[in-house]
Amino acid sequence: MQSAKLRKKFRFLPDIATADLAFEAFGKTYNELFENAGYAIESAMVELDTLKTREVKEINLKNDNLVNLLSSFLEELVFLKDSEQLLFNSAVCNVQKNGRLWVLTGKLGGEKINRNEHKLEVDVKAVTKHLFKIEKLPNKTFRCQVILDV
Amino acid sequence: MDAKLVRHFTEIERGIWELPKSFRKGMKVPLRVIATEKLLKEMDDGAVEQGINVASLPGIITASYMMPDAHWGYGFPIGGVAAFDIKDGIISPGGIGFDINCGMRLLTTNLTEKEVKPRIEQVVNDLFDVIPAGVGSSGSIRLNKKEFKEIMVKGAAWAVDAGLGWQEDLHQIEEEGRIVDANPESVSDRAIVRGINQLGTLGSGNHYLEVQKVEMIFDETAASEFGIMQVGQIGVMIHCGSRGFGHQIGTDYLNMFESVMKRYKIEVPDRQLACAPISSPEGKRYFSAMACAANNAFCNRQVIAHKVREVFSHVFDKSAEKLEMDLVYDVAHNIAKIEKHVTSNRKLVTKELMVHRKGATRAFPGQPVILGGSMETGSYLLTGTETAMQKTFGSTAHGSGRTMSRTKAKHQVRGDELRKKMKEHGIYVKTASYSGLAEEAGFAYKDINEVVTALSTADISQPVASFKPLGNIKG
Repeated sequence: MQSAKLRKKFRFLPDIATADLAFEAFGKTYNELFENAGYAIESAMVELDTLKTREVKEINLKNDNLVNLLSSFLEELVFLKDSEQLLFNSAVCNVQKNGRLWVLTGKLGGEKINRNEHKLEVDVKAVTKHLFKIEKLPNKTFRCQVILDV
Repeated sequence: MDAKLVRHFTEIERGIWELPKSFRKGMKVPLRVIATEKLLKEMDDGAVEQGINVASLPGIITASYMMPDAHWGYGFPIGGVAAFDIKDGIISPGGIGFDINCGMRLLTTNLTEKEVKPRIEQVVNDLFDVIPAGVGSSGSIRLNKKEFKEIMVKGAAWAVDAGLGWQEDLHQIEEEGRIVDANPESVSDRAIVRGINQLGTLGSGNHYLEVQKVEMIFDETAASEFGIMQVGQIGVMIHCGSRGFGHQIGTDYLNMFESVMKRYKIEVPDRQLACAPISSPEGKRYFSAMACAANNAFCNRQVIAHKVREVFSHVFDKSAEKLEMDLVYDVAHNIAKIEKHVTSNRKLVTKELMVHRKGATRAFPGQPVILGGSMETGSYLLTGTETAMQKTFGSTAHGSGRTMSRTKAKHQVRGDELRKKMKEHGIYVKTASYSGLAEEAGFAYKDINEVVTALSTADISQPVASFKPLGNIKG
């Protein structure tokens, strides 16, 4: 699983989407990009350092394009927050192209929401498609931009 | 707004500014902004761009509208209104929002500020204990799938039948708390799993429950009809929606619409505007799922209102009936509705339209309109007008509208500092998240008085009373 220092490879953007919450995340590989986007969405909801890894969840997602695969990964994190009250502070993602499909397999580590222990932030309602993108930067790292409905 | 862009707008009627459809290729109708000159100039460029995008959608009628509280959202601007011809128009989840039937509810009491102020901390603490708020919160009502599906169909009436409300409440809710087109078969299992434990919860972000006092009465006749009798009277305002259930329905159908647009030869300038023809199987299915979420939200606010009545009854040792905790109104501000409107005044042509209101409120003549302000500055009760029917498909604003992003607001003030400052100003706050509180600071919002001036000038609604917060719970 990613170490804590890698978690900083995202930042919230102050000048996009007044009502919502925009972030950008980076990664040298698609795996890292997905992991850091995952940390960004989780840290919108909770201060990551207040979470412990008590439960591990496996994920397995497919999509016909990479952008939608990232979107469905982030949607899954939002879904697990409401359906199982799970928030995550560690992630390992394996993104591969398998024939015509993009496939994500991975593991998420975290725990159930505990209002006494966790420093909660804002509830994420959904991952929007507004200005959603993945791009390759001149330094060959990948960047994604995501706007969350909060 | 960029000064170059402002110059393209003309004030076509008092308080209504138009950007002609010739402004950009692809616009099918003009963009009309309801605003004072000050609010027009201060409007986000991003929001205006979104209003222009909406003007290019298939089947849009008359104009793409932005209310004076409009700001940059996703898909439609927040504060956006657009009506589409039922026959050849579209329906778009991005024109409704993920939080389907996010809305406002206002309850009166016969208590006065003098009676409530000394006990405000107890009232707010008790409310905070019984109304779950914040990230991923779940409620105390345990439902099975069958019961949850009944809520999707019956809306607020489910709660009243379960003893969580009064029969007369239903008459004071938009559509009497139930949209008839709901079909639970159109809802995914994921949406059910996500929302089944969240009935009676507030959520977070800008959602709140506020104990308020009447600050000013502008229209005594309308105020008394709505149960607002005097300055200093205490009311309770609730702002929340359909929680994870509605959010998941929005997500499911946005994904579905994106993949079917090609089949219907629809192109949109923003992926978040993904849509389907209203008459298509997908469009009909979304509308019936959206109605399920809307009914869930009406029921959610009904359950929360019941908890409010219980808390007041306990704290003031009187029944909610004796405290006259009547429902003034419950109104949606994230929804699409099938309504009949006159589309050509000259020929008096009436058409059935799919009216999208995203961060905008229905404002039919004489109907109460609840404008939720920031938790520091206060809120308004207004009434809808005939002019709104003629000019904005019976629509008006929903709040004061953000001017600053959440990330920026958080950098300007700390939540605990804000809570302290608010307490000094006589507002007691309980929050599930201090950083969430900081995001909702009053300075992050437009001046609500200016928004009301714009609405009144364009005569799409008129002020009845204003309210100031005494206590607030937020997620």
